[in-house]
Amino acid sequence: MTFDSAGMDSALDALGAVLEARGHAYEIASVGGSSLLLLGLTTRATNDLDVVALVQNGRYATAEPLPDALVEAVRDVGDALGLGERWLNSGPTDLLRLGLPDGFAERAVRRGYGSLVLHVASRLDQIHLKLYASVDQGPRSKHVADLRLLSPTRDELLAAARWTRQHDPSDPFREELVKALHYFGVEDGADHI
Amino acid sequence: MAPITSSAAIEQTLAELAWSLWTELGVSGVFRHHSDWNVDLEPLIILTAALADVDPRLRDESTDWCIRYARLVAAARLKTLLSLGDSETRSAFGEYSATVRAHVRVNWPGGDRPRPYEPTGRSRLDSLGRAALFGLRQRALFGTGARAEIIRVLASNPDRAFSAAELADDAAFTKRAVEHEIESLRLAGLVTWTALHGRRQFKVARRDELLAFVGSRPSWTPRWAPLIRVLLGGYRLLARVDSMPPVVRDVEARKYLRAMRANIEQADLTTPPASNVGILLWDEVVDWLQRVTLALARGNPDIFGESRLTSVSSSARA
Repeated sequence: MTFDSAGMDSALDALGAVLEARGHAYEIASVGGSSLLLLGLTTRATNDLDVVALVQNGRYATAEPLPDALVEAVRDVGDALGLGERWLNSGPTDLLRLGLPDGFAERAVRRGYGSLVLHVASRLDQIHLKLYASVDQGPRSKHVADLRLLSPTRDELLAAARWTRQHDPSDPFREELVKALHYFGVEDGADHI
Repeated sequence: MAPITSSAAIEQTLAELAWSLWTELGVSGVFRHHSDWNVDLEPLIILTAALADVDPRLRDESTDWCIRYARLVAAARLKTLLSLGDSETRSAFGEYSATVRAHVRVNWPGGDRPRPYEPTGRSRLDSLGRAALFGLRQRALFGTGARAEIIRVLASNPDRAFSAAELADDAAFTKRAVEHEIESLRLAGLVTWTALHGRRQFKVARRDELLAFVGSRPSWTPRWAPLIRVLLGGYRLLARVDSMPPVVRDVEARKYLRAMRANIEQADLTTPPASNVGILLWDEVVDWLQRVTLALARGNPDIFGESRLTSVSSSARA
């Protein structure tokens, strides 16, 4: 099952309504293709919503494990709408351990769905994450296409490149990062990272 | 006047069902639709406790019966059945149980806060000879332990073989207790066993003698314990989400069907289609719950499949 933008909104509406009916409220932060869809930055259908963090009293905390009541509601909504059990998952929460880009929380776009509040990664933060994923998974990955759709500027790409080095300071990664920057038009990337 | 809600309609029908079953037992009621159905006491007590606020007279008259005939109630079965129920069922049972225990010495599980109550003294159980009292009759003969329930199950299905696990499920006693009792019954020559795929299957050994001994049997012996779980779960589903947005109702209806699947199968009910994705499922579940509840309340067995329900032709009945 894949989502388009309207499908993702409908699923989140249902999830928020079910959580509200059961007396639960959560705030979560999302990244990835579904978040691009929700912000209208892509039309590429996606399989799931990637949760990077739980937001508790304004602070980001690991989304692993997701709270039982949230997992149960996700499963029940997935069952009813034919989305499977993991249409919302905490796959990318490891990103939190090494650090999200500075200012991620302030830039995130808040969306309310019943008693569920979604903090959607901003365009700039998606550029950071998509550049990292592009280097990590190679030039043929879907992330390269997603990054191109975001039309990043040179300064945005360089800021993103410096952030990715916090996650992987190895020389092989740096080599691939320079190639990726070159692919996106930053020919002197090696001098700035 | 506000239209009656689905949950209000279901609770009235459940109360009607409980009244009919209690009336078979000798409670002072008006309608009787179950003279040819076996009445299973512990699931009925649990249902009645859950409806205590809906029908206070039903609560009070049934409490009177329980105090007067406490010796016929199997406390161990109450414990087992409550452990299989949800927290709301256990909570509702607490006050009912405490009220009974305030008037008679019984080992019932439950709370310690009785409601103010004076027995009405209107309950009358003159004889256990009627078909509806088949199960209670076995208790009068064999006591309130697992043995009476095993006899009830086997005599209700004298041509069928059961595993110990199946007997334990039907009897609502532990498998260990059932195995212990069935060995005694085997030694007494009442039960025999065969091996099927490496598992022991038990059945009645001296059919005609046993059936003559246990007395008149009802035509219908549904498995009330899973039935009551299905009905109470449905009643609570309706009460909780009837006024919610359609998508919530659909999600909760689907969850209910998933949670109740085993009980629905055990009760041998035909289920509503759960494969459809979409909000129409709610209407189907509500309609199904109303049909099942109304049919049970009126003593109509058409809602059952054929596999697990005993239907004894009148000529075959002892």
